Amino acid sequence: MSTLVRWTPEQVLALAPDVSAQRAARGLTGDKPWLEAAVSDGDEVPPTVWGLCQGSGRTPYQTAIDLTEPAYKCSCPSRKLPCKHVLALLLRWAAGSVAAGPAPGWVHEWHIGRAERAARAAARNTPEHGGSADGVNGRAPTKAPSEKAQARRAERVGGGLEELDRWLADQARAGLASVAKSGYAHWDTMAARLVDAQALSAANTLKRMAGVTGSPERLLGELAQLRLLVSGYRRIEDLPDDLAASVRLRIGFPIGTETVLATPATRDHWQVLGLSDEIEDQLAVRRTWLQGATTGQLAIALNFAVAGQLIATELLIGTQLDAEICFYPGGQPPRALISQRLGPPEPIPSREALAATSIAHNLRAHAAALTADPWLERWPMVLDSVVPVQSGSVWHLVDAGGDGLPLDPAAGEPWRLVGVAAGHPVTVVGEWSAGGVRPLSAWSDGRLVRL
Amino acid sequence: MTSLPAELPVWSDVLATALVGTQRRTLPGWRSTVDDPAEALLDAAAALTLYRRAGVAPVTGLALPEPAPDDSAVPSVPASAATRLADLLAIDRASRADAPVRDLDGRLELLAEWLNAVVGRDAAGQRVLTRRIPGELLPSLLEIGRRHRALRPLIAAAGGSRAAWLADQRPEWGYLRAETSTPVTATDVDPGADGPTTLTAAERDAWEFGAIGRRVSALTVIRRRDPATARAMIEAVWGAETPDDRAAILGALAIGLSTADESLLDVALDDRRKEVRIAAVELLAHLPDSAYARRMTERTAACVMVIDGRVLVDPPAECDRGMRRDGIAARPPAGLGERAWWLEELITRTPLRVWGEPDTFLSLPVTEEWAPVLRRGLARAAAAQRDAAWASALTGPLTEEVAAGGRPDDRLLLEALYDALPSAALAALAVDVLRRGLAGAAAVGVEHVLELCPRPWPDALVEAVFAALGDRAGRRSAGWRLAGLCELAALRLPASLADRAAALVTEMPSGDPMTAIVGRFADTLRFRQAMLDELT
Repeated sequence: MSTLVRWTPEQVLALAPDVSAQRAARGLTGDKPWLEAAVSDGDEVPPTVWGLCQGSGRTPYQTAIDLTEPAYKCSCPSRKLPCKHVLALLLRWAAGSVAAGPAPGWVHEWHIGRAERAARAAARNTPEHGGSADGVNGRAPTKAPSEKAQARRAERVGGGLEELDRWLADQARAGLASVAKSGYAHWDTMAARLVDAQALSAANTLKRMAGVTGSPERLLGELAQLRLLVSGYRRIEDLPDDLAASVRLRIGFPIGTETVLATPATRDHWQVLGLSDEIEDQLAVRRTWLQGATTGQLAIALNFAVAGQLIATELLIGTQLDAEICFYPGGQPPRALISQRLGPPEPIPSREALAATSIAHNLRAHAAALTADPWLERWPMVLDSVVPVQSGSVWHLVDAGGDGLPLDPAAGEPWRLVGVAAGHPVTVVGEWSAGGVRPLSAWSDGRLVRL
Repeated sequence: MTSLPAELPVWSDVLATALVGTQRRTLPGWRSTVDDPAEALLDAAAALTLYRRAGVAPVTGLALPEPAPDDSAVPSVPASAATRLADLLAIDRASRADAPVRDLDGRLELLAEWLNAVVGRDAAGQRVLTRRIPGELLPSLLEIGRRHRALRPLIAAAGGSRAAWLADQRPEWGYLRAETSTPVTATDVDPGADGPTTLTAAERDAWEFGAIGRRVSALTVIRRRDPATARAMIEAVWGAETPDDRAAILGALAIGLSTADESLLDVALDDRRKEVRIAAVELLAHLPDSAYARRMTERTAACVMVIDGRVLVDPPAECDRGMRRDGIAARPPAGLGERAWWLEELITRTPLRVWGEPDTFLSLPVTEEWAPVLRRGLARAAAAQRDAAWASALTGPLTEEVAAGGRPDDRLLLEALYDALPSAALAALAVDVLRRGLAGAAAVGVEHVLELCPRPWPDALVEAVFAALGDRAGRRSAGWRLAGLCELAALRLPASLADRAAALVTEMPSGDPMTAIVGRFADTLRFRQAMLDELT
């Protein structure tokens, strides 16, 4: 009766959200856990593979897959979609171990419920909320992509990264002295391969590298960081959650805003410490650094616009916002998504409210953040009682303990900051990166002002 | 994480190996968990990079600068005023579209008004700072002072001790020191110095070896301090200079000009280069006791005679060699007779005092044919010699001529006369002119009068401006000239009149083509009112 074309096991595994789900599913393809299973392809229901799987609980899990979309249902408590039961059942079906049979009542109910929800959603016709720039490749996904797409993506990424690893080793073998002489095309080819593999953040890192070939030291550092990323992805199952999330972030796995909003929110008075704008790949990026007044939690808010257009600023330097914030997984400091505003922005009440600390303390915080995200490029610093000091053409910030940090020469001469300080100690918010500190704001006459 | 191998290689070794490549060199003394030396190298580099990033050590031993004097006793301006100042300081940036004033001069004027509002006068009349400008705005302010000299004294006063400290940190802002240490006296001779003084080494160096710009500025400084020495310096090199340089150097004599300079200027009258001759003539006309003035007086006396209470005019019949040498242009402009032109030129260069009291002289009947020529010559003389009495007496008649049409350059001459008027007379003149209605006033250069009117404008002038702007027919006939007048008035009228200006706009009939212009006038006043309110 069935004109249904069975899937291949590869097709099934491509749906897996991650490697561990694949592995777990393979362990469930035996006959033992499956109390009942069939594929129903009749007039009443769309083609559906369904089964009852005996898990650790008393009642067996109801597992069903609508093959048209595909859509999944499983009564197990796993948050992964598709879960290992879904994958295992599909693998069984792919292997030809599932016979045809009529659908039981709960499968019918599932289909009816889905049809109703779809009708309601169509009637609501909610406009998509934009704002997420993580969804490159066209539209911004506001919810998690389908399991199949995720699995396919993971496979592509894995392939791309393996290729990247071989390419990296080739560079180390040939020597950076010769690599530095190759033009942009040398980098673009590999970067394009990573774009194909949907490892977009890694691809961007590689593209940027073409610009630092003048400094072998930086070039080696960047190549090594990519190698670290590949190694991390290989062992992602073994990594602590935050580090694993950082690996996924730095490779460029998209995260839907709905996924982020589903995580527990943190309520605080979020201080807007500083912003810096940058053009990346014809995209204007605004980084806004936030810190919770009570929790001390640092966060970054990202806004994007087409280069040349203004980025709307809703977060004003020197203000604080009573709000609930959800964090994107991975990255240090984590990217913030404001889930709920609980009051209008108000000025940061005092300099003391900024919780500024010494240079040494800030460096320690930076080091600690590197353990959760070794690929972080910028780190916000809230520096207490620092004086801008010029020695030759180099500027430093020197704190009360006599410790100094260089200012990033790329940020230009810090005259506005010098004007604020006038040789006296001031509170400065800066962005720490390989080049040094880029001063973003300072406490001047009772308020935090942009520099 | 899996633990890193106990001993990490040295970064310099890793870098050296990476540079030549692992196919030529292997990282010494490094046992890795991977077999491929290239991969092992990258792993080592990754570990070391992270190690180095996490282990950044602070720099120590940096000497702190001498701090600025504590200025916290002066209250800072409110945040709203600081925000507005930041906007005003962005004079080069295409400013926000909603800003009422968009041209550079207008914005500089607003900036000056802002700065003036934070500067007060102490009992001794010295400028003192009443409200402090936030430090982050001072660099932009000092940058503006680099290009706009006129603002420097105000910047020095409004910037206070902090700006002075900041200016010391950067050579480009060094001009501020001069502003705070010496009073500015535009072109006057420094009264404290007389008698020859010695030149500084830098001045001598600049004068002897500098490019012409530096030489002239050094000469100007010396001339201001000691006119005789400067003159002697010019005389010593005069013959050896190129014609272009001679013209430039001669210009420096305008400072501290006296009859003692005449012999040098007389030599310059015979110069081969026309520019030098013109410069000499211009300067000589400012010396009423010179031989040049005497020659001119003699020539004029032969042409203009007062006999029996009548002015008899007999213009020169030719422009001889002597006249040409003294700068009389032999060729009249198009449309003017030769004799009339020569007469005008002679009168222009004759000291005005030979005519006695202006009102008396001007009331005498004149040979009708030559009356306009005589008046033009006198007007040009009044403008060139900056004679307030003659300018006042001649403004009225010339205004009538311009209003009636007149020659196209008469309006320029009239504006030159305005420049020579005493500032006290300007407001009354402006009121007078505005009675002609907007179009009539614009025709005789009311903008220029208003430009020169000292602030604050007196009530009579305020009333005259509002009366003129409120007249619909007048607005219409003024056409495009209304815009210039409105822009100027918006910047100069007392800002407290913003409400009245707004009322003027609401009273305008719908569809009036001038609504936009008058609307911007009202917006500017509103902007200034808000700006000053923030600072009080």
